[in-house]
Amino acid sequence: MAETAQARFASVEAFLRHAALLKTSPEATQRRVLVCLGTGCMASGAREVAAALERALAALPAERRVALNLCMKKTGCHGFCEKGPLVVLWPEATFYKGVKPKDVPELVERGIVGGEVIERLLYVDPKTGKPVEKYGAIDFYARQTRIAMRNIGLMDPANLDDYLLRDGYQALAKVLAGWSPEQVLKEIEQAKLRGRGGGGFDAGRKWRSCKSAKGTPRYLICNGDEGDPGAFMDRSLMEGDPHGVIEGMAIAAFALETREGTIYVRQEYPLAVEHLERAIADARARGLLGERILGTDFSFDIQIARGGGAFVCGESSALMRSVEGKVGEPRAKYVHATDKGLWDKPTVLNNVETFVNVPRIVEKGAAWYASIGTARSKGTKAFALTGKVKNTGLVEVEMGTSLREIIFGAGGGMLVDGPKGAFKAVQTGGPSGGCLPESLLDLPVDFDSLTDAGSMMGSGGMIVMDHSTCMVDVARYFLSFLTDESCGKCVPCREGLYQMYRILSRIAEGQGTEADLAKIEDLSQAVAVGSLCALGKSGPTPVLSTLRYFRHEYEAHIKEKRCPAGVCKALITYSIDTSACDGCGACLAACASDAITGTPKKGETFQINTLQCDKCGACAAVCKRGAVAIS
Amino acid sequence: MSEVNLGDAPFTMTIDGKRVEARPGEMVLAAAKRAGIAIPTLCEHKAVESFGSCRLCMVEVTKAAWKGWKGLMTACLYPAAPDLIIETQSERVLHVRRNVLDLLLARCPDSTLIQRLAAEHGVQQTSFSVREQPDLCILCGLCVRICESAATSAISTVKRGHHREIGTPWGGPPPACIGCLACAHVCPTGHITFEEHGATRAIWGRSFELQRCAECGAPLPITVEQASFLVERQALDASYFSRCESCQRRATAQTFGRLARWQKLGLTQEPDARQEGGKR
Amino acid sequence: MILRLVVKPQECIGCRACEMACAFTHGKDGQPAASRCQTMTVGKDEYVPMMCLQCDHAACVQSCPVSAITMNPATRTVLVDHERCIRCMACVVACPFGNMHFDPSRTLIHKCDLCAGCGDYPRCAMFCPTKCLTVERVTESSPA
Ligand SMILES: Cc1cc2nc3c(=O)[nH]c(=O)nc-3n(C[C@H](O)[C@H](O)[C@H](O)COP(=O)(O)O)c2cc1C
Ligand code: SF4
Ligand code: FES
Repeated sequence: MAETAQARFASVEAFLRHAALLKTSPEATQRRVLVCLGTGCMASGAREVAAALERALAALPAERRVALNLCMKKTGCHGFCEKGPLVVLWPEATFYKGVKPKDVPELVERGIVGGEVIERLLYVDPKTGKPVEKYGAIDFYARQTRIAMRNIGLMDPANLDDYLLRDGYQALAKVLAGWSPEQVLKEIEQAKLRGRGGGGFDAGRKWRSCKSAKGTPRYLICNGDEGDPGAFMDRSLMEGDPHGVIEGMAIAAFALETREGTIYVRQEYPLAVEHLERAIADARARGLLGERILGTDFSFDIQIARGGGAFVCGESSALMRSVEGKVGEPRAKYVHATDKGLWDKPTVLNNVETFVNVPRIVEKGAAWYASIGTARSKGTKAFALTGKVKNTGLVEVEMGTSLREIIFGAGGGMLVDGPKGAFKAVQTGGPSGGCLPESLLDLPVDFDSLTDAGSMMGSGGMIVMDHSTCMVDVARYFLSFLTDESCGKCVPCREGLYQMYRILSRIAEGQGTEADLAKIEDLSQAVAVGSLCALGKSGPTPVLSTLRYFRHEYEAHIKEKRCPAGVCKALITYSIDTSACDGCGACLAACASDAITGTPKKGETFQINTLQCDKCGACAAVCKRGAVAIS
Repeated sequence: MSEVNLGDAPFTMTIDGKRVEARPGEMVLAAAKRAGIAIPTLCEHKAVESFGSCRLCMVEVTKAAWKGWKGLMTACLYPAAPDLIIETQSERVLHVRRNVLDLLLARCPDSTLIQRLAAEHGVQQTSFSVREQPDLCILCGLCVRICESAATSAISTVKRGHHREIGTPWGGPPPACIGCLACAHVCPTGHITFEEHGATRAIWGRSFELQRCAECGAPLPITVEQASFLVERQALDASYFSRCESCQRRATAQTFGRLARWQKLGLTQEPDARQEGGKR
Repeated sequence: MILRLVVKPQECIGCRACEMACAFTHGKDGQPAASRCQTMTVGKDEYVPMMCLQCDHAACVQSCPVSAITMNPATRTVLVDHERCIRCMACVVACPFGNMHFDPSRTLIHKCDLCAGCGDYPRCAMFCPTKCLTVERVTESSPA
């Protein structure tokens, strides 16, 4: 870009002129080699792939490069990390997965210069077994509606002009060109945008009550703490579309007439911090943040605060204490943060994904947004799909999409064939969410339907479980997480969740009684209403939901001393099915407890000494003939 | 400091069917107490801000306008408001309270305070697993909060969740401690102990010299560190904390005795410098 | 209405009726520790009953780190809020007249409250057999 273009935009008109110019510039029509440099792809070696690509492209003769009109972009996360490193050719949308540095020469020669499709790097549809060439034709993407994540993966998050090419800051310019703060508030209210951080609170209402609260200055905070294990949509957004977050916050700040914003980023997200910092600096330099934005009277700036490192720091009041430099612990107050939040001033706290939706609403209108989704949940929601499904990753779908559509559509269905691999439950809502059974697969997913079903939306975690999962064990696992992550301030959560964990452990060890079930239900109710913050209040959900839908499994553990899924160590025994065993001896080598006897020889078989057996399952994992039986 | 009187006119609300007067800015707990309605509490102390951690003071709150919706709220933090309808003994309230006390009894089976409160709620024995090596700490946080607000933040809570405990920096004797005993005195269960022998006081693994009377040399009931802390914090002269109660009293009595003698002799009373503020 | 306790030590005969009255008013069984006044012997047949002066700028009030001691503006009596008190003993040491007391059996700080809440009329004066302790009623405007 020409040097003058990097200067501060003196006015909305200057900005719009630049953005229009950009669209007709050569940059707009360039062919793009998009290399994903999200945290997931980086872990599988994307940095090396990008470096190799850079070198290979630079090595092309200059006139070839010009003729090809090529540029390479390091993008944010495509959400399909499991298949990384990912390289996408744009605009033809050819999607290559699992690219290694050694594939790069071929990719450049045949794929980019030659215009051929390299079949061996294509994604293979697990249903048809056929390779799929186009990005949009892959089920994982085809079944998604990307509004919040619309830019991620398609642009360089570190490049402001790239964002502008994707209509970035158009919404902010539109607002600054003549909207009143009240008009913005009305628009968000009419769009019925609900918070994506967990509670699903009406964002417009939250802004409105902050605005009408007494006291100034008002504060604006973006919650990027994302403590749910397995969730990474906020990270992807902050890494892959940092300007989207900033623009959303700037519009909110305009509506709230505040000049100070904070993005609270989880401790473990260095890349998100790096990208946000860069984006904030760029936006400031170009007059999109800071004093007199786009030459108007509106001034707003953003600072970054690093997370306190605990799960509970994502909770609204704990987060604000943490930003104030105090211990990140929830504070009990029947006064809303919109009245007395950060530094006891009126404060709006919204989730990353909530903010990213704001520019889209302003741009396309509340009516458009409200036309997407269900009656009471508008727009889309990003889910972090994991567990026993074929495609794991970030899936953004319209509110009201059924669980089945998500799991068997975008998710590609269950991972493992056979009866053990069949669908059993899906856990939604993060660690304090609930497990829903097969009979609810057609449930249209939105804030209220999940709550009514005894689970919750949470921040959008979605773990698919098959029949190799024991529901008592699942409940116990989440309770152990919550017991550790409870801040320990209030009695019901600190002592109650711990005692629930103790009872679940007893049941899993075959020591449970029927009275235990009544006890844990009774205690769950008390913890759910008695706890101070939402961690404790929703803490019993894993127990209550599994009791509601999978009570028979609890009963099997208690009455029959049996773990139907074969998971709970105290209730299972390993043995070797002599008819299936071919005497290879793999199990013998795998056993760390010397519990297997026999000599490796064709025709021989082995025995497991149940007293010696540690029930680690190593033998079953190595046996190629499936001869290790669990009962 | 749960009473923030805004100076506005008092109003009424209903607690357990009784009309109760409340003042703007005060909490339900304070209004109930004034009306003689007892609500059990464990983490509340007037000298510190309400904390809402024990959850024992939960009450059921509603208003006619809420169309039958009732919320469980902690009375120590819920602001009194006109026309609130509050129940302190409903089944839901008692259910939470019973569970809280049952849980605390599993945590602190030897605390007589918890035993008594639990028994009052029909819990004679805990129905949960008793903690291994239990002590008397119920983690109400009063000690930490009083130390923060009235002393030197020498102690704090450390670790999370079920491992939470009251701790000192690096687990050793707290360097900032001034031995004022405020923590021990606000502790509702007697978990924090101290010892005093002659002119030394021991608490939190530290030993403190008591301040001595400048006149008779007897130990005063405050430590040397506490005296200098008070001088600084309350912005007072060091002489305020330098003499013992009896020396002060004796000196004052002597002065008054002298004055009385003059009066008996019909002399006019001489103003005395120490009688600041005057006798009324 | 402001009550003012007037002490004329020259009238004191050292009978300690005031101490007894105080102990029985404020304590359960009249243990001497519950008394907030103390009669001192200062010479032969010379006694001074020591009781709180309800100072305007009281050292106890100033020294309390939790503001548990305040002057009731209506009665001009300096009162300890026992629910707020943390027993740090600052006031006991700070009172220049030795008129703040600590009752170890009940771990309570106490001081003369002019019988606020226990009859609202100083019992010591009521039981004083001489004219040593008397009560004056003062209206708001009169000088201290
Ligand atoms: C234990 C706990 C952890 C939370 N963690 C997060 C988090 O990591 N990110 C987030 O956006 N909200 C989190 N929340 C929800 C926040 O308290 C708050 O409701 C939310 O950030 C508000 O934004 P929204 O209205 O846009 O959803 C958490 C809540 C609780 C109780
Ligand atoms: S509910 Fe749990 S996390 Fe929340 S304040 Fe209580 S102890 Fe802390
Ligand atoms: S007294 Fe209200 S929660 Fe402890």
